Amino acid sequence: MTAVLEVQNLEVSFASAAGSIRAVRGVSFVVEHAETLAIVGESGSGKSVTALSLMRLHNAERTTVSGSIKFKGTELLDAPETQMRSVRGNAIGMIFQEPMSSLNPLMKVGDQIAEAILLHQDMSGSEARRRALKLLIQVGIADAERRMREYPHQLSGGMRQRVMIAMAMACDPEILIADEPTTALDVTVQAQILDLMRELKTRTGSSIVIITHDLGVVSELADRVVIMYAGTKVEEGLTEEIFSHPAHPYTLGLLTAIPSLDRSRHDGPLTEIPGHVPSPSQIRAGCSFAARCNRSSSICFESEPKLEAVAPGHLAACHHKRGKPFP
Amino acid sequence: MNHQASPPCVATPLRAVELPSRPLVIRKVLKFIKRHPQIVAGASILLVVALIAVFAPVLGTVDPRALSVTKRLRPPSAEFWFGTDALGRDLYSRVVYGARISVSVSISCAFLSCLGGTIVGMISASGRWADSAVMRVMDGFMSIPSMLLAIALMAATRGSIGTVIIAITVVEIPRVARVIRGVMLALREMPFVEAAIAAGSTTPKIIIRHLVPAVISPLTVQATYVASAAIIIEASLSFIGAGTPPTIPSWGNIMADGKALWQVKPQLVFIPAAFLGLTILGVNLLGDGLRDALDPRMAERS
Repeated sequence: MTAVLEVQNLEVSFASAAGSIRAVRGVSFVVEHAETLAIVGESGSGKSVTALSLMRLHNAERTTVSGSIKFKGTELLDAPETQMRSVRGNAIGMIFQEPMSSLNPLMKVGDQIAEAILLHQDMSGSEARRRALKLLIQVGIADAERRMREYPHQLSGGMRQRVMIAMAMACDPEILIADEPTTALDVTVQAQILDLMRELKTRTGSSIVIITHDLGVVSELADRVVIMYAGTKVEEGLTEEIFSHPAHPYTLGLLTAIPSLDRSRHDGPLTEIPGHVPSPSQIRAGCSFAARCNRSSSICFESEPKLEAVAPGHLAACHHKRGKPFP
Repeated sequence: MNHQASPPCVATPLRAVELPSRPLVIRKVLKFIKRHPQIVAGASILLVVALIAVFAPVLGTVDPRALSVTKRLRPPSAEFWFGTDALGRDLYSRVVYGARISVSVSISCAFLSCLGGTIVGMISASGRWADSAVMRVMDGFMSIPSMLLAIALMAATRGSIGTVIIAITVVEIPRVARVIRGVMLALREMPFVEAAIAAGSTTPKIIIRHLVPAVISPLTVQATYVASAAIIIEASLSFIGAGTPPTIPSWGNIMADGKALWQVKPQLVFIPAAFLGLTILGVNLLGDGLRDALDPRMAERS
């Protein structure tokens, strides 16, 4: 396996009236060739900020990004804007959370996909439109020829997300970043979109980075998982490993908070994680999860736990992490 | 797609007695009138005014500046349709020629203000430093009553139709610039712009392909409001003698000429005023109609 994307010690902070806010604090991970990596966390954990910084889509005036993001060995963080443009959409494609507003309401769907193709490929307009049609058929849009000529408002939410996927796949990117691709869709459409992404991945062999808070999506799609909390990576490992032996209490909390169909009402109320994610401005010394954690002891409030291996390829940052023999 | 070929309105079992459906074009026109009566009414009025302006010399007019001491203050008659004024000039010819001033001033001002306002608005929306500087200047312009600003500009220059147009344009640019700036600021935050950046698009391409098309509809609406304001300001300036030179008849200075006698010869004021009012009504109807028609929320879903 070769790493397509290597993120080292990524730090993202925003300038605000109240001072600098550290949204991502020293996150590292790699994306291997043809794997699906899920970045999981609650709202405010810094997962979307991480995704945006991979493509350098932040407002340059108000954001500082440090660390290193290497795409096949090339550093992206200090790359000139022209080089970034050839990466965006070409080598790395992105699917956004909002299929409703991520398409230009005034442009026909086919034209939008064709434009994404023409940005990176030297072909005529009619060739690009033929390719756009092929892509629409690939992402499973029925009657694609007619849909090409329609405007986004004439399409359903699921179809729009399919169009977004077609646009992101337009230039056969090596990495597809999907920022909560199914959040705005209803459940049956979610399942269809996940199927489609899985199918595209096996067909094109591209890597996928999926940002989500939905562990159902993770278990469906991901090979490996990175769990983020308050701007840091708290746990990382293979999906089965994380689901069967969560080492970090936060991961365990997330897993036990999933409702399942075979619960009866004698099982008592669904467990929840008390409290909420601290906002980046109120992070103190020690473990950022300590205040909500049922395992916390005095050391948790004093020193920040380091990421350590629990098992090969399975890392967790916790003073009281649990290894494999967890029930 | 066979079923699409047949006309959709004849879904009747009486296949033999198919109604002689009117030609498609006429049906489309009728549908448009029904959907947008304001646009049709406004556009019709403006079309008539524009035709009057263009064909003024062949509409049975005489030289609108020809004085005739013997034919002063004639009532409307077969020879002088609207009568004559205090200097014996034919009022009908003056009003018809006056349409030329109103039409040309309104079209030029609408075009120039939209052009200038779009440039200013886009500059303003493009950067935070530019924004505060440019918009404060625009606020400064807007804080002066538009008539007063126009009079000041007219006083500083030589009176001609060109300077009237420039004065009105300067007054109207800030209003257009505000609208364009607002639209651009809202658009800039739209996810589809971010998506375009993420697809590797360049800033000029994003402006041309995504931002300009979205600005066109608010700009069209704004243009009609500028046009109606321009007609009013031109007429007002001419009425107080600070606008179109008195040698050229315009609705404003025809009214000014007639105002001393309006108690005895009311048609000297009322006829040009009626033309002025009707034209402004037409522009405003068209503007309101376009605003509704171009609003994507009111767009027809199929």
